[in-house]
Amino acid sequence: MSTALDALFVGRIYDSGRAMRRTTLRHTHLADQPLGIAMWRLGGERFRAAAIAWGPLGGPFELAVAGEPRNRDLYFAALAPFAADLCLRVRSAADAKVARQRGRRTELLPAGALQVVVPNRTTVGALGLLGRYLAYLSDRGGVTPDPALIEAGKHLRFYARHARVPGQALLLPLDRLVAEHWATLLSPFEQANLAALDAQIEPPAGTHAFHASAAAEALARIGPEPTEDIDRVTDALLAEFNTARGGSTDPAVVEPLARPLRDHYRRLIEPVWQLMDHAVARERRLPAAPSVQRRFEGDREAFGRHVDWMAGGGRYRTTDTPRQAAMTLRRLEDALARYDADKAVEDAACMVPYLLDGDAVRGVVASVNEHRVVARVRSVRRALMTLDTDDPAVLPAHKRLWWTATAHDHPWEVQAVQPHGLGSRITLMLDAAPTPARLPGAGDRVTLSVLHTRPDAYRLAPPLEAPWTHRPALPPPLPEPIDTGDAEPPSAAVDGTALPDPGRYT
Amino acid sequence: MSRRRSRPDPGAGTALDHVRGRAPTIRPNVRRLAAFANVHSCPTAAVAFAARVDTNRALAGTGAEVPYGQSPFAIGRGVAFEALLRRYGHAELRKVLTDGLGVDFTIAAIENLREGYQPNRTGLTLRASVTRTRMAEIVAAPPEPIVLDGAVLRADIGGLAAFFEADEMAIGVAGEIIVGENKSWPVVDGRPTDEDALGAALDQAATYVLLGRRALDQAGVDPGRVSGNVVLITPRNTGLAPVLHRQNVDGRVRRVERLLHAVPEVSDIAASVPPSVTFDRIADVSLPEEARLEAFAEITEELGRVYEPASCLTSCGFAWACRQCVFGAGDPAITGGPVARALPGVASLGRVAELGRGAPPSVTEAPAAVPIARAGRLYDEVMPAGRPGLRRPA
Amino acid sequence: MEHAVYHENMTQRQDDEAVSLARRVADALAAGNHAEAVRLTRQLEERLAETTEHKPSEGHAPDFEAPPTVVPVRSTKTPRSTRSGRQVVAGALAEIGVPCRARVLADYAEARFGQRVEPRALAALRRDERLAWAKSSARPTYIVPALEGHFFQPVRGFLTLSDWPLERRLLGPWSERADHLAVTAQLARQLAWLSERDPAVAERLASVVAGMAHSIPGALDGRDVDTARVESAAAAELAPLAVRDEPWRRQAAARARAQLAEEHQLWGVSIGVVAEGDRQGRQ
Repeated sequence: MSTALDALFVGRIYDSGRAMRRTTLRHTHLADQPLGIAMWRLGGERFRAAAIAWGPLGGPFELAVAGEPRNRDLYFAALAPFAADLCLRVRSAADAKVARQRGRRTELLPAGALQVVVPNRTTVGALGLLGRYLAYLSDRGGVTPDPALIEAGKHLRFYARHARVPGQALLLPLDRLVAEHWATLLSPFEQANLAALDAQIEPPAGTHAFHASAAAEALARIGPEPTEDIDRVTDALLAEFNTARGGSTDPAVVEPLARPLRDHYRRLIEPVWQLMDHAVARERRLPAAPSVQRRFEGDREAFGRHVDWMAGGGRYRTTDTPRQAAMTLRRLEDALARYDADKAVEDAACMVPYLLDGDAVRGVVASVNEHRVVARVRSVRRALMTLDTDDPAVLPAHKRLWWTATAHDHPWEVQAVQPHGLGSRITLMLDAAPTPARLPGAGDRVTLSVLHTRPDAYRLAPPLEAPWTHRPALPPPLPEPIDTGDAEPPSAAVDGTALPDPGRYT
Repeated sequence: MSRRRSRPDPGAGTALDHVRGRAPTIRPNVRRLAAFANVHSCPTAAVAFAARVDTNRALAGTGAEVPYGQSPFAIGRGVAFEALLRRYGHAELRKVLTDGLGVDFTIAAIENLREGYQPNRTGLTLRASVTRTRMAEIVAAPPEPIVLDGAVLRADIGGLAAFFEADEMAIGVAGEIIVGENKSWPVVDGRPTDEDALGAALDQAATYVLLGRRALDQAGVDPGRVSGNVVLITPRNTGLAPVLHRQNVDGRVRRVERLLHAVPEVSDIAASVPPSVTFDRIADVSLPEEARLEAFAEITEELGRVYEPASCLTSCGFAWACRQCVFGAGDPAITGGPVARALPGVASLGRVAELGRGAPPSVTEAPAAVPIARAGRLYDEVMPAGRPGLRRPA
Repeated sequence: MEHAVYHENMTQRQDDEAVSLARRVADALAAGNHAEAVRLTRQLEERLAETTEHKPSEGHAPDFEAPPTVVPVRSTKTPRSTRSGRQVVAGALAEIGVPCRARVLADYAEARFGQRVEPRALAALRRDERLAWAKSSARPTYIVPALEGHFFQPVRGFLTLSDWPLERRLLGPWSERADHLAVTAQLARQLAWLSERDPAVAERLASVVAGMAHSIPGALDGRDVDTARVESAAAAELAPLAVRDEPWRRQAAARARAQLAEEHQLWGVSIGVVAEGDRQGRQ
């Protein structure tokens, strides 16, 4: 893919001191009030959320802090309200249904779906791991865990898996959303920091984007993995907390003692929450592309299937069989191709790289005429277009290009290319009957490209996972619980300065 | 407890010692060598590595210090996992190796080279000597397994020989040497839970494989005896109970070999550098920040600098300071390789902006300039009028 | 130039009789015959001791003869201090009888004597012992570090007593595990003896033994400590290791006696700066 556009961006941003938009439209659905989730783990503990914040973006967040998240009783007690709320929101989002015609079939799918927004892709992974842990909790010491935790775990797993689908909007990592819309001086590695992205887009007056994002990198703490300075404080507070509670897990005892830890995490979450809110509000101002609704309908479908499946008992394998994995990969690849095509066809700014690569042409329609040609046996009506392009075009004869306005329909075939002024004159023939909708007018500025959005060309329709009801009679083996080590006493925290070579523990 | 302060090297007589000056030092190890391989083509990084400069700490106290420390809980987990494997005569290590490799390790000889040796060159030399002997024994296929914990291997990087300590273990089974790496992030459903950390761990193990193969080769033994299938020992699920996975790293070994082969000849660079060039000033905490960062800019100008964000930001403590220099110079490398490579003949980003607005290119600029000008035209046509911007300060 | 100090030939001629005894120990254990396993282990130990040049000295820990018992595990109580730190450490080491890590020593001392030894105190102890030896202020034994087996450098993490024969103060590739198994068996026997005479101490000691036995397959069944079970499980795992470790220790001790002055046989060797080619003293 041509890098000339990226080079242009870098040059201009360097010159102007601010980031630039990559798109004229928004290509991802944004709900009115998506559910925001932000979390901080305990360092190195991939299943322990030391703090989880959640709530509709634009409003205040609720905060769950266990105190000692490695203690099962405290941990589950803290997560319970989060789990209950998540389950409630999922279920109510799936309640309202609409009907859809598919050929002769009428299907019901949810009218909406719960959209979850998180600060970055790492949080997506973290929620997925948390979900895996919660979804299959074992009965420890004869105590059955709160069913809301298990249900929430399954929801989180579904969301984290669905996040792999290109163009999906159920679980939205904001670092990806913002990077998709904006060109900055940040390399892909640096773009994972939402605060750095934001700083390049809206640097303080008088500050260049580069310096603004460097400052943000040094100061901002986004999570979910805590930095050394954060967890030094956590270490001190947690030690005091554990000493003070003396092994008690009684909420009456523990709650007041956990207040310093709650304050510590609240102070960390607040700037992240504001940042998320700000980013969503800014990106929402872009008008949505037409295909956003169609993609979100696919999300709603998957969401509906998931909720139905949960109602039916909720069992599936934890890992794909090789064949499943191959099929899933194909569908993901197709989904990506379709998403790229949709974006470029609907958004002229997204078409620019294809123009630069020679996979698209842009110019003025010099003429559109009908002819009769002999196709196999009969003589049929065909349209011929002459297009005068701005830049020289190199296209082989019979190459098929789609006019962006009819990208879902039939292509035009290149008949001849000749030099014309600074560009080329291309003659193309429409590959189908010339109905008015299919024909541009003379004098129109049009774009044709290799991209098309014909629905039958992409293997998207079947679900990524066969629902329980469509499986053979033998149920799949239940994924095993992974909470086997919960009874182990937590490891003592060790400060890096006490060791000669702390780097060996990365 | 205060951090270890850098000491002047009493035997300083070589150009590299002078170049290091009072900057904090490191003991070279396989892990650092693997990270250095990612930035191998940068002369500043190569000289810093050869001079044993701790790039993480050299800029401590400045705004350009890249945070590198870890959460005490994460470190504590790592310490606890290692201690678990080693406790009671390596009870858990024996068990996980027996279960994972299908060979009885309860009677394995476990050579502990971490304890009893001085933390200096003497200690490294002795450990290297024992390592060589033991590896030769392993290759002679004794009937019982041997584990070497804390091996030291000698290697020649950029024309300079040095000893490298390994976090990894060498496991000798049936005449083969298998590299074993412990990490404390868990594996769930047979998959690691941290892809980035897995990649780094496998790169480290691959580097050890490479050094081990070279050591065998030098001893006249078939280097293929060091297996390309390394062992990864991590906790399984929650808690710290260990589990073993084998992973092939042949591709990574080839990559690291290629990279280290391309390290510039450090002795040549060091010999050609004027005596004024030293890392001493950048580490001097009594100097104001600007003076230290300016000294850094000078030293990278003099030695040469290759900035590639993806590699540098994950492998070198100078990355932020270097990025600052790159920006100041208007160097297209700021966002990474593909863009930098798209601009041969174009001197700076300021010029790219001009070319993007249709400024006439020179003959050598033209191949890169024409598509950029076109990109500018196409973009301006579709995008509504740009927001008022800030001209970058001169 | 290679620095080739280490010449040791690691291939061992195995003692066939010892190997056979070791196998019989394992068989007896598998058959559930604890008494037989213990009996065979004693035989094996004697066999290995026969082939040493030096007999164990008088200061070696006595065997505790007592019928095995089952002791419940309970948490330790706060200790009372009566003896000096050094006396506690020396006493604990004497009863343990093998090179011991500071932490295990401290846990044992707390359970056995009710006295806590702080890690900082142990660091000071090492220094003081060396000074005392240098002044030759007469002490029957000194607390000295174990020695590694290649160059006989001190291994600070492991403590031993100077009146132990050199064999018992060296650490080879099997030694740490073998010693741990031997100590666990020994402490199990001690626990059995104490449970009749001093139940309070026995309770504390039981939890130490439980922790140590945890890594030995078959040693523990449930929360209580069955001393016979622990002893025989430890003995079974120890047998094949001892077959390898004892000859190693003998050979290493012989080398050390041939190469080292008495001071270094006690305190280990501190190897001077090694010059390598033209890079003098450079890291």
